[in-house]
Amino acid sequence: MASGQPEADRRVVVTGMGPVSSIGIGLADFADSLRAGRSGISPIRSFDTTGFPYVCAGEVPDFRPAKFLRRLDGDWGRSSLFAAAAARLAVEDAKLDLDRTAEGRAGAVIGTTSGESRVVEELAAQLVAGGYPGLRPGPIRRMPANRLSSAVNMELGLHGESITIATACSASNYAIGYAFDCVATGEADVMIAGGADSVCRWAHAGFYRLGALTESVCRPFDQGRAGILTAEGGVALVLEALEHAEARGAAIHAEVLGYGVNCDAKHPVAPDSASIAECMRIAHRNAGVAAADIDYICAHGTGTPSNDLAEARAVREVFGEQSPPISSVKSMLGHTMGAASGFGAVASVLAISRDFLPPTINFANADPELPGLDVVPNAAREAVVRTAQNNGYAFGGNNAITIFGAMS
Amino acid sequence: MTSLSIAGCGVVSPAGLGADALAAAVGRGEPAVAASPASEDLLPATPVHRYAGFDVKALLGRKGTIFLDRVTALALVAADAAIESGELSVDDSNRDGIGVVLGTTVGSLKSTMDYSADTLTQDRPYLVNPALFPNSVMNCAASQIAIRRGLKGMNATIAGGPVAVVQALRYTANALRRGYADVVIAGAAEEFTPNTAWAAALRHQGRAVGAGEGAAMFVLRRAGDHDRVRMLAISTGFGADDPAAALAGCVLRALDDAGAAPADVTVAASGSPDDTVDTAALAVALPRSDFERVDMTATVGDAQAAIGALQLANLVFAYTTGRMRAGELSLLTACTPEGDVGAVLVGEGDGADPGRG
Repeated sequence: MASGQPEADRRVVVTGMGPVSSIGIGLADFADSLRAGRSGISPIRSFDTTGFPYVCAGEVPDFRPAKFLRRLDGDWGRSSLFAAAAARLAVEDAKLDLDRTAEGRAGAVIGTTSGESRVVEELAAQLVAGGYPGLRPGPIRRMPANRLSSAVNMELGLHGESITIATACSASNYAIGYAFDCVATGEADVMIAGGADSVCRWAHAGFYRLGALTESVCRPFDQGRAGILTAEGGVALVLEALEHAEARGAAIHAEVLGYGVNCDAKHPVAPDSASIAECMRIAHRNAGVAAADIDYICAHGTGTPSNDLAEARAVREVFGEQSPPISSVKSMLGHTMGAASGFGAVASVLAISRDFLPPTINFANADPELPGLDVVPNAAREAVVRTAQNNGYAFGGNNAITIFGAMS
Repeated sequence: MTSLSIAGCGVVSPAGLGADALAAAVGRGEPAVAASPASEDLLPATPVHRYAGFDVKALLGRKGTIFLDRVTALALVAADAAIESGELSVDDSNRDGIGVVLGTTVGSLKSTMDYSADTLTQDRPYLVNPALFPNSVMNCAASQIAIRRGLKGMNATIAGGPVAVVQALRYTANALRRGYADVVIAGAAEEFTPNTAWAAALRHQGRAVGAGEGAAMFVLRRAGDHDRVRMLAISTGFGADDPAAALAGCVLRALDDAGAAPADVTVAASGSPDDTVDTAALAVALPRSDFERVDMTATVGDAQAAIGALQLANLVFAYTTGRMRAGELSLLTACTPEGDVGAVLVGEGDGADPGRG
């Protein structure tokens, strides 16, 4: 955090949420699955896994975009369709009539790791099959990553800023943070914020070769944790100025209190616990909360040995011996990459609005190297959550943490 | 939104290193078409706007450069040059407050496609190179700038295609306004590879437009004292149904934010590979102005997100060299095929008057 005094902010609230995930499409199904501790992991169907030692991922095989989309037409890649469907579901959950929002006062910020990865993969297959002259114009048109947020603006008919933030696996938190600022400073009245990514061969192969992929069960914080499972989906939250929400009589899920971002500036893939701890302090300071105020942490919790160790150390550094419950929804969803911290945000908001802690499933053995962690093992728990912290880290050391609070 | 002080600028383009080389090539209206690289049989029959003399090891050193892809190397060179020209010294007292914001289209298309292709062509589909995995992720270049220079502030990658640099500047202005950073190194970068060359050929079917490359990075602060040049206003919007009207609206909002009139704009530059929409928008927003247009793509080709960044660097250079004078404003416009639009207004700063802004 640098010097410079933030001006008086407008309060920003979450009035709608739209998850499109392997454990449920739409808020009701997603919340039920979080509470029940359902796994969304299945054998990969989206590409031929012949020759891969591990063949499971968190796909959304029954995603039918046409079921959700009203305006978006034309030829769009899977990640854009995830983003647009999630945005439509979020706006429906918010019961928000965007035609009544002032022209240009609503926009979208979508985070992603690999954008239209399936489209790039289609081009790679064309390259292998027919050389460069074998590339086709269709996927070239569908490839640019800006299309993820463009698709949201088109689907919802928005004329405000449309921006795609590509800070890898913390990208949704980056997106929520920027959208929060846009509303807090009065640049916009409503912002759709979230993330999207698609399962693809190259990420599956890359994580395997890094030694960061597990076979079929993701066990965050467990002594036997062996890695991530790649996953996909789209997620969107409606962020709205409190006065705008109140004026239309909207139901409010929770308030966005603020966020923090920083960069390890150290290593392309290895996390840095000191830098993560600093990001937590920045987030607390910007949100105007103390560590003792946090009732629940939605972990980055990828399930790799190094991530969970760095995260646990950072939590201990910031919270001391008495850290709040911390669980990983990646145990259920797998790692949805750029959408991951968006799903974490939805889980954090649900913890606040519905009084429960989502579990870390597949938990068998506590790791003595991660002492004192309450990971909400295997079963959801009733709890009153006033303030929740949602962690996101990424390749390149792009840390981003959002803080949500109950409406007071 | 806050205006931005430009404290430094670093440029690499098909014309070589520096804004002076770029300005000279643009001034001559020169297509900086390089001799085809050794792999010319891989390229389509379109112009090659490539920095042929780009020597990564000479510019960045041998250490840590072996796995860099071209766009990352270009971004690093531009960031180094920006930091040097801005006389920014990074140490433990300020590194937490220095951020990076980089615009792109898809990162390195070649790194990503090669990685994916390896899963199809290797003996086993997983026999990809783990050391190259981060290159397949779009935030690679921005995070490498942070790693190389020890910049621990916010680090964002904005995938906005031709509008990316405008969005990156909006993101930067917000971060400075909110106090998340004191200084931001912001801009955009793109690489020329066979992949981008064929992609450009398919986008511009039937026209003699070739792919290009380059990077321009700026050292930016909250507008304040002793700045010679500023981004006076930055605006963005979206209009799939009528992009020219949306872009005209952006231009008028930027003028309004800066307290300027359409007639104050004396130079207009486009960051779009195809400036049809920009031209239509200018006809609406600046109806009477006899402003000068700057043709950048003749020199740098379809360098996607880098076109706008290089245009801005070229506009800024005109102020620092005295070609543009007080009261004369420059305008950058840009749009994507999807309908994202953006505009940046550039003008003189307040010099020794720290009170304003």
